[in-house]
Amino acid sequence: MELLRQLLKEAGADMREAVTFIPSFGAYVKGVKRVEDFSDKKIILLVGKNKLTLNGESLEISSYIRGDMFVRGKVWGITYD
Amino acid sequence: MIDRAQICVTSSVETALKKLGKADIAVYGLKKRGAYVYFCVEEEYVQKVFAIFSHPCYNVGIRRKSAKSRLKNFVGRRLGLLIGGAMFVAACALSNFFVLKIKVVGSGSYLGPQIIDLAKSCDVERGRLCTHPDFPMLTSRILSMPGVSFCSVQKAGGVVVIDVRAESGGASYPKPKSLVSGCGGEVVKIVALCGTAEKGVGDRVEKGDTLIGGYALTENGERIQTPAVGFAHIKCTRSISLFYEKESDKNAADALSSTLLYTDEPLEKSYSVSPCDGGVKYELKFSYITALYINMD
Repeated sequence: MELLRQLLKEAGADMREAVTFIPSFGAYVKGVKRVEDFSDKKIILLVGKNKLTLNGESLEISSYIRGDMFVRGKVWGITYD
Repeated sequence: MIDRAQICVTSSVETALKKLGKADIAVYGLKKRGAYVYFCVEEEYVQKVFAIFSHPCYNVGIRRKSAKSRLKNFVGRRLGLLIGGAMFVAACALSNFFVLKIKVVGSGSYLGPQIIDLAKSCDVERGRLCTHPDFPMLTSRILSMPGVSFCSVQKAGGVVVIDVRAESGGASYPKPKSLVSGCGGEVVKIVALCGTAEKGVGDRVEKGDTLIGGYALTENGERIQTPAVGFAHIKCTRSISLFYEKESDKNAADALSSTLLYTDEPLEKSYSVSPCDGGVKYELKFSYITALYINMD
C-alpha cells in the first residue's frame, strides 16, 4: 500500500477520492459524501461529484468514519460515473 | 477489544449515515433489516446518537449494550451475589489453612487418640490455623510409638490424614495393661506415650495405685483399650531402724550407707540416735526417686 500511495502521489493523483477493491472480501472507499441507495446487493455512494455503484452480495457497511467507508461483502462490480 | 453498543433505528440507511456523518460519529457494522437499520457506535457516542434521532419520527433503541455497560449492569444488579461469591471463595481459600478434621487411617488407627494428642504437641489441632505444619516432626514422633512401622502425614484441604501402619501379627504389641506404682510417694514426673495418665505431677500415690491406665478416652468420653506406654518418677520417703552396741562415727556411716540398698543417689537423708536395750538405735530417714516404666523397651 505504501508503494501504491507513493506512486500515486508522485503521479499527482487526488488521494481524497479513491476505491480499493479486495475480491470476495469488500471495498474501501475514500471521500464518500453521501449514501444514495443501500441494499445488501447494491450500494450507491456519492463520491465527490460522481456516483460510485457497488454491486455484489451480502453487502454491509462495516465502518464509516469521516468520509471513509469500508463495505464488506462479495463485491462483483464497481461502476463509476 | 473495542467496546461498542449496537443501535437499532427505523430510518433509511442514507438518512442515518448522513446524520451520523455530520456529527462525526464513526459507524460500524451497518446492516439493513426491513425498516430497521442496525449499526454499532462507540459507547461514548450512544447519548449523542439518541440526541440525533430524538425526533418522534425515528424509533431508536439500544439493541445490545457495550460489554462495559453490560458488565456494569451485571455487577450493579448482583452486587450482593458477587460479594457473597467473593467471600465464599475467600472462605474456601482460608479454610485450607485451618485443620478441620484429623483422620487416622490404616492398621494403626486404634492408636488414634494418642496420635491426635501427639499431633496437638506439634501444633496440628482441629480448628486451629496451620500455616506451617511440622509434619516431619509429627511423623517421627508417631514412628517412635511402639508397634508403629509406617507413618505418613498429609494435608488435603482442611483434613489432615495420618496413615499409620502397625506391625502385622500383633505379637510385638504391648499388652493393654497399666503402670502401677511399686511404692508410696509423690509423683515427680509422668509421661504417658500411650494410654492415659491417671496421676499428675505433685500427686500423692500409694503402693498399687495406677499411674498410667491402659485405655484412652474418645471425644465422646468412651473408654477404649490401648497399650500403656510411658514412665513415671516417684519420690519415695523411707525410714529404717538399725541397732548398734554404741554410738560412734563408724556406726553412723554404716547406718547411712544402708540407703544404698534402695538407691545410689538419695535426695536427702538424716538420722537420729536413741538409747535402746543394751545399745543404741539409729533411726534413718531418706528419700529417693524411683523410676517406673511400662512397655518402653
